[in-house]
Amino acid sequence: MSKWIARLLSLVAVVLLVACGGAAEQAQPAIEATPAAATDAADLAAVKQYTLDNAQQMKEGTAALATTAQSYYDLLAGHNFDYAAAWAADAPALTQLVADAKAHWLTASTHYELDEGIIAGVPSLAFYDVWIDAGPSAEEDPVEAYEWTLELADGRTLPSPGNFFHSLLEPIIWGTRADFVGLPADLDSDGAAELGEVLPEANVLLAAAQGLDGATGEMITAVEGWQPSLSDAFTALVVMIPTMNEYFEQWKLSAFVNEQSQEQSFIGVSRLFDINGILAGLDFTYGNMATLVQSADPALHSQITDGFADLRGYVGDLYNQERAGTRFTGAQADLFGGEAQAKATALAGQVSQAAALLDVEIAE
Amino acid sequence: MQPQAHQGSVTLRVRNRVSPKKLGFYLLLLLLGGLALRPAPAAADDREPWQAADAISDALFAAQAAVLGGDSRAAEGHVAEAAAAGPDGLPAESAALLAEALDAAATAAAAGDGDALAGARGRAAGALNWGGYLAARAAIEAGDAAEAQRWLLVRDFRTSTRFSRPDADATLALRDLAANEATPEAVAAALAQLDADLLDTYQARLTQHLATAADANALPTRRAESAGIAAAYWRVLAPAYAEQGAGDASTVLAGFDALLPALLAGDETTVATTAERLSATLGSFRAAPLSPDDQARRAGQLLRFLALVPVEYGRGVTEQTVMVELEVQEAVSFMGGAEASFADLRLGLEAIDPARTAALAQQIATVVADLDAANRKEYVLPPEQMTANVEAINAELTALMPPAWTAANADADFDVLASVLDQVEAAVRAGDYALAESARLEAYAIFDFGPEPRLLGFAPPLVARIDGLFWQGYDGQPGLAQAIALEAAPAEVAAIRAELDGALEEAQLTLGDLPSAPGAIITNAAIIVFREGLESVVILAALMASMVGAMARHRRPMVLGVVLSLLATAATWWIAQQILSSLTRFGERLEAIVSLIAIGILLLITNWFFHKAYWKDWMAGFHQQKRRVLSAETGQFVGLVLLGFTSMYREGFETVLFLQALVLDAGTTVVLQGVAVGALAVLVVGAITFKLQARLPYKKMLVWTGVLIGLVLVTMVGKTVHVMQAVGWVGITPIQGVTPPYWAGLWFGLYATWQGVIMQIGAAVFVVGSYYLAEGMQTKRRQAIAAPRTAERAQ
Repeated sequence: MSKWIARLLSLVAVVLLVACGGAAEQAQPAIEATPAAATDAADLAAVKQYTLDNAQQMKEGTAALATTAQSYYDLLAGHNFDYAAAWAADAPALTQLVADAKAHWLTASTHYELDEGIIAGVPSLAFYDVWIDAGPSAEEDPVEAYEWTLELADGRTLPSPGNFFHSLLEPIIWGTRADFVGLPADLDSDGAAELGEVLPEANVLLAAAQGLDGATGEMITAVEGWQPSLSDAFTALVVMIPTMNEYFEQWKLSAFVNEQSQEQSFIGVSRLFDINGILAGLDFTYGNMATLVQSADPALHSQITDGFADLRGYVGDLYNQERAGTRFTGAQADLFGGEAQAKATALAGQVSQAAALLDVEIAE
Repeated sequence: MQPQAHQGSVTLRVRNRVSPKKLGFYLLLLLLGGLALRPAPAAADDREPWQAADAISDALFAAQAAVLGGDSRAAEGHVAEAAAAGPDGLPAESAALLAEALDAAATAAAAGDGDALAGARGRAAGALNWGGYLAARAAIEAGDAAEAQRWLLVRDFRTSTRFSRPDADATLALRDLAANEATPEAVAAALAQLDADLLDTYQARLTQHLATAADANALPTRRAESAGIAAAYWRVLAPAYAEQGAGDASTVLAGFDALLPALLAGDETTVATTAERLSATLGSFRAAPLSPDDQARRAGQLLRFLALVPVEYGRGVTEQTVMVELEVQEAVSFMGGAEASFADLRLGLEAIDPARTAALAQQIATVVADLDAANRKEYVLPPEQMTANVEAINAELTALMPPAWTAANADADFDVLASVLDQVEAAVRAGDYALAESARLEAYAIFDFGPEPRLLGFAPPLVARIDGLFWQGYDGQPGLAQAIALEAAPAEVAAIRAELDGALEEAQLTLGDLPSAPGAIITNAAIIVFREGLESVVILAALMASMVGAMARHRRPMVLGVVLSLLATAATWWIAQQILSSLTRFGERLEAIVSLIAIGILLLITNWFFHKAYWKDWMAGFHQQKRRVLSAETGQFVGLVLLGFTSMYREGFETVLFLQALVLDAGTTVVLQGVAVGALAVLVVGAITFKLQARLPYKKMLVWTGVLIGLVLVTMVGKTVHVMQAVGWVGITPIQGVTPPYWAGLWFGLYATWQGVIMQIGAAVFVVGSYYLAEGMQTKRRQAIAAPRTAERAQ
């Protein structure tokens, strides 16, 4: 009997306490979360797969770049890092290695740009954009710079050197930073060592290439672990669409527009190409949520679809003209940027209305 | 290896005819001719208003391209095309402005004047957006939500930035209107939302366009286009300006209309003076006044940000030196937040007292300047002075603000919390993990004594998730405290932050959508009282179980303690209502102190319990021979009163804080009804418990009581260490790889930190040790008593 009473006492306490919690749970209001059916209507798995596919193709580029950098380093090490002697003895091999490095960088960069809208726009992945493609160095912005250190094979370290693509590898491979240059060299044998024709400093090239490859691997792991939500997708769109001004400004300052440009970045490929890539990724993302938006507001969906086509067509035509040989002026770049920004502002606004209608929170 | 360069002959020809500044635009339009000329649009009748608006914009762009190509006739054709594309149903005022703009465009096209054409294009675009607003408004007034939705698509948006997103209030309001009956109340609500959204948007955009028009370094075409847009957007705001009695709207309109002609005439002096005057006008009123909710939210942000400024500053500087730059930068960031909130509230404050508001603005500007100076290391204000300056602002604001603004505001809590979490991430990026931990604790404190009590009343699982993410993790996700203690990479911290943001957003949504029905509030209040009361019943039952027979007298002081704690709880309720915000600030520290006292007393009593219990068990026959030592009895009495008091008041204090949150939602009367229901339930369960307990055989009861007291003590120690960690009094060393479930923390105070676990083990050892010590002493005493008797018998 006493056992029964003791158990009952315990039971009374425990059951009632647990019941309290349960009752409180039942009393909470129903949150208007995005219904599961709505998430199903958006093919977020396709967005993740797209991101992963491009990230893996990017990885092929970064792995090849790391291999090339290692070969380049080994060749230079064979000459005790005497660049002039190496160039005198192995010019064809070095020329090929630098050309390969540029090609692999372009492969990696191209696929990253197709992902950038998503990587930079999704809060849980945005860090990789800072590290790989967009973060400033401590020299450029001591407050915003991500603190990390690049360790070189010769023992030197570069504290907070910025991002891999544009603060490190582009200036290294194209030689736009004097301290990253091993030797200016006439790589195309036209009698002059012009902009972009250098033998990169081997230590920094190897460290940065290996670092980018490692960072890309980490990014892929993060993407694999990413559980995409509607909030992620809409946040990416609303955050990344209206960044046209910034990209056009970078384009204006780059060597593609300004012949006298002293910029160290955006020399390997035109920023217009990057913008195209970003918009392609964002358009793809929207495309996989389009059904959802269409069901919520067909007219708004139609307006957004038209807006994407308009903006992508606008930037695409500019890029095609540039590729066809047109060199735009700085003033034109300003105006293009203004027009693109106006279109982007409207499009981002429309997407934010769709998010609100679907009760999807845009992360801040 | 340079990018390929090419300039066509047409470009060179253009250069010979135009100024260099205009050249860029001309070349642009020439090159973009193909871009602008989209496939011929469908007939105007088939188009939605937004399609017609886009068609006009495109046709005018094509006209600009044609002007650049020197083909005025084609340009005129495109302008005519634009005129034909006009949307049906555009309200008369905006249609007139559009027609006027298209006339100007036709004239400019015929004259080959690119700047004038850009100005006309801007004016036309502005007229269309103005028309969209007017048409949507008219449709709402007519109760035609579908028509309003069609016209709402013709609109401009605020530029989306990291910190600000385009409003969607109007879109949502129209969706709701379409879904429900268009009652006069629903129509009024939709109109209010439309105005709040669009007037705010157009004022922001107008400010931007005015700045562009006045910028002498900007390209003439862009300036002209912005001047055209600005003149049209003013027409959107003018009624609100007139309605608020802010000034003569027609004079302002004349100023905006004069801007474009002055620009086209190259009269920079007129442009500069006019733009300056108009800018001052725009800054002096708010077309879409903040709603009462928004005002309260901004006020909450302002006071919370201000409170954080001296804290950060004090950590960052000594008397005259900046010691920790990041702390000063945090102080600057928080002051920036306060300054922005003040700017939003300024008009409202000026309506209350313009002179005091101006003085406050000056005080705020001084603090901003002092902080900037410290950040730049120009000079360093002593921390005490900074604290005094900020507190003076705070006091003046609190005195000036209406009571509704100073009430607790969960949205403001979330806003400030997000800012502090930004500082956590910034510190982690900078590799300063101590600073990150300090910011994390600050963020947790804001959550713990801001939204958490309310949330706990409505969504306990969400509190569990957020608590876990702030601390040692939840459901497999790592926690912020653990990550910081292990100096995790910024990416890892960012990922946790993202999770935390998601949970906090959910919490904000929950709190923004709480049931306001009295029944729900009463139920929740009753549940809170019942839950906390039950904890007290368990503790008291455990402690009083042994107090039977002669020991029953010990119940009296404990009951006295309980009664006193109920009075203290009532007093706390009253104080909480008077100074809720102040109490909140010190809440965790108070809780830690009360818990420490409770533990101290419980340790004493546990020790006493075992000794006394066994003493009684074996020495019952010698009660009459005991000598009462007055001092010892008094000490025991006081101890028992304190035990009863602290055991109950811990729960009472917590309950008061939780209930205050409900009081804010539903008022005291409703909540007290819930308190009554909960208290009654506690009394019933308490009576049953004590009655059943009394039936237990004495020895069984002793075992049950001893185990229960031990459990209570270990739990209390765990929870107290956790609270002390939250206020920064005890360090945090995570136990790697261990993530106990949330209930283990909630019910047993078990958290995965070495400090907590070691202290809990210590408490358990104390309880068990005390038992064996007591038992050992009794054995010796028995032997001591038995020995003479044995000797006597032997004799």
